[in-house]
Amino acid sequence: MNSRSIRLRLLGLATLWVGVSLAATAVILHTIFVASVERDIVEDLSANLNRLIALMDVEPPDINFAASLPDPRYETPLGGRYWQVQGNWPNGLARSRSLWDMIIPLEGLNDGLHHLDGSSEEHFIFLVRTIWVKDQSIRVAVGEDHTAVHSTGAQFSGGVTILLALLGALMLAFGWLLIHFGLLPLDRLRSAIDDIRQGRRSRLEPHLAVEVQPLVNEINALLGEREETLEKARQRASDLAHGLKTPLAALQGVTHQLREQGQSAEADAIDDVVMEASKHIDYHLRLSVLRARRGSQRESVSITNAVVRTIAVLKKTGRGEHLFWMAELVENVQVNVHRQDLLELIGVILENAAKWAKERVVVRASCQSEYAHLQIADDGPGIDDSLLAEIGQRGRRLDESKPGSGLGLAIASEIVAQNGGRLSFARASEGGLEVLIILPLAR
Amino acid sequence: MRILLAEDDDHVAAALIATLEKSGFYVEHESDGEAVLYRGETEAFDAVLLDLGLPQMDGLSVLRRWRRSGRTMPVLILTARGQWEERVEGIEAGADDYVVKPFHIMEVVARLRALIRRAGGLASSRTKLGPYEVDLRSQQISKDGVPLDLTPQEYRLISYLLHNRGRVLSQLEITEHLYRQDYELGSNAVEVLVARVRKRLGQDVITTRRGFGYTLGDGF
Repeated sequence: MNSRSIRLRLLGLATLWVGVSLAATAVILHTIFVASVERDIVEDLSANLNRLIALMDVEPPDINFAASLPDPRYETPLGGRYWQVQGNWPNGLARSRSLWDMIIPLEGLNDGLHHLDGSSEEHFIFLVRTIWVKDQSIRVAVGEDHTAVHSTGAQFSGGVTILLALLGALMLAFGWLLIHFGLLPLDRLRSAIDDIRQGRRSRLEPHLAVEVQPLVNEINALLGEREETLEKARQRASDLAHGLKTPLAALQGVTHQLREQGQSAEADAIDDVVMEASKHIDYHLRLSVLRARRGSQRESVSITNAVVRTIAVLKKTGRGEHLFWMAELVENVQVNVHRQDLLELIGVILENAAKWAKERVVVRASCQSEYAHLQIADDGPGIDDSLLAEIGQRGRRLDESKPGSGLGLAIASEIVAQNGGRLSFARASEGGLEVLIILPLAR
Repeated sequence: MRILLAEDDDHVAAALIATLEKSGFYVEHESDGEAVLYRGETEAFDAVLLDLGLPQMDGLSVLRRWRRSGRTMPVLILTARGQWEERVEGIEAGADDYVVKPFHIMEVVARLRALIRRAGGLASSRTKLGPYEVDLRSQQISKDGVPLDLTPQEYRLISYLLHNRGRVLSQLEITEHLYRQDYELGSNAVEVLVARVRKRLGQDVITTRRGFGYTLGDGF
C-alpha cells in the first residue's frame, strides 16, 4: 500500500478519529467522575460548614462553640477532616483538633471551594465562607484530605484508559473489516476490467454496487463505443478489400480475353500484378480484422468442432475432395480464442496441408497439461530441415511451384502468438510437413 | 446447361458471361439479391454462381432461403472476402464450393463443371457408356474412340440427359436448360433436336416416354 491507497487513507483517518474520540472520552469520563465525587464532598462540607456556623458563639475576642461537630475525624489529630474559624481581630482563631499544629492559610482565598497542596503528596479541599457577626468579619473554612479522591480518580482513569484502548483496538479492527468489505466492489471492478483486457468477458456486470454503478455504466459505454469504432474500422477494411478485389477480378476477365487474342505475355504480366495486389490486400485485411479483435471478449471454443467444420469445407474443394482426411481428435478440446481466429488458424494450416498432400492429411488433437496440442501432417514432399525455421515469416514462400502467397502462415503465426500459444514445424512421419499448434486450454 | 450468375459488378459479370457462354453454358445474369432469390426459387438452373456481396439481400441470406425452401441446385460462391469464417458459413449455409476473388476465370469454369458433374452423380469429367465416351471438359463425344461431329446444341442435349441419367425429362425442362429464356422457339424445337441426335447416333440413344418426356436410351 502506498500513500495513494484509499485503504491506507481510510485506515489512517479511522485511527485518528478513533484515537481522538477515545482520548476525549477518557478525559470527559475522568472529569465527570472527579466532578461527581467533588459534588458529594462539597455537599457534605457545606452541611458541616452550616452546622459549624450554627454551633458558633462569637463574642470578640472569644470564639466559642456550643458543641463539637459529630464527625469524630474533626477531633482526631490529622483525622482527615478539618475546620478553621478566623476573625479579623488579633488572636481571633479557632481550629479543629484534627489540624493539630497546622493553620489553613485563608489569606487571599475568596469564598468558595479551594484545592490546596500540602507537604509531600497530600491534597486538600476546602470550602471557605465569610460571615459577619456584630460588624466583625469571620472567615469559616471546612475541608478534608483529598489525596484518596485523587488516587481514586487516577485509578479510575487508568481503568478507563485500558478499557478504551481495548475498545479502540476493536473499533480499528472493525474499521479495517469495514474498509476491506467496503472496497470489495472496487476489487471486483478491477478483476472484471482485467477479465475484459484478457478477453474473458466483453462488459462489466451491471450489479457490482450502487456506488460504483455510474463508473460501471461509463466503462461499459466506453467499451461499447470502442467496439463500435473497431467494428466500423473492420467493416471499412472489409469494404475496401471488396471494393479493390472486385475490380481486380474484372481485370482478370480482361486478361482472359487478351490471352484468347494471343497476347499471353501481356495477360501474364497483368495477372501477376493482380495476384500480388490481391494477396497483399488479403493479408492486411485479415491482419486488421485480427488486431481489431485483440482485447475483445474471447469465448471458449472447441478445436475439435473447428477442425471438423474446416475439413468439411476443404472436402468440397477440387484438391480436398480427392484427399483422405484422417482426424484423431480428443473430444471437447476447448481453447480461449476468438471463434473466427481459430477457424482462420486451422483453415490456413489445413488448406496448406491439402495443397501439398499427395493422398492424405492427418489431424491429431490432444490435451497435454495446460495446453491443447493440434498436429496437422501431410504426406506431401515436405521441406528441407534447414528451411523449417523460415516458415511462417511474412511473405516467405518456400516453393513457387504452387499458387499461394506465403502470407497465410504469417497470419497463423500472428494468431497463435496473440493467444499465448506456439507454432512449430517439423518433418511428419507421413513424409511431408507437420505443423504443431500449441494453445492454452480454456480455464 | 443453364447457369444463374448473381454478380453486381458489371465488369466481372461481363467477363464471366463471355467465358461461360464460350464454354457451353447459358448464363442468366442478375445483380440484385432479391431478384436472384426470386429467380432461383421459381426457375430451374443447373448451377448458380453466387456473389456474397449483393445489394438488397446478401448472398448468404439468399442461399439459406433457397435451401430452406428445398432448392438443391449446386451453388458456387464468389467472394472478395477470403476469411475462413466466411467460407465455413457459406458451405454450412448450403454452398457446394467457393472461389475467392480475384480468380482465374477458367478456374471458375472448371469448378462449375465439377459441381454440375458431381450433382449429376458423375465421378469423373470423362464418362464411358458402351461405345460412347463423353468428355465434359473438351465438350466432345466419341464413339469407339472416334470423335463425333456434333453441333453445340446436340452436345448440350446429350450432356444434359447424361447429367440427369435415370430421370425422365419433359420437353419444358429440356427447353429451360438448353435455351435462353428470351430465345424464340418453335413448338417442336426439342422434338426436332432429338430427331437430329437420333439420326446421327442411332434411334436407341434417346428413349421417348410418351406423355412424360425423354431419357438417355439403352443405346448410349
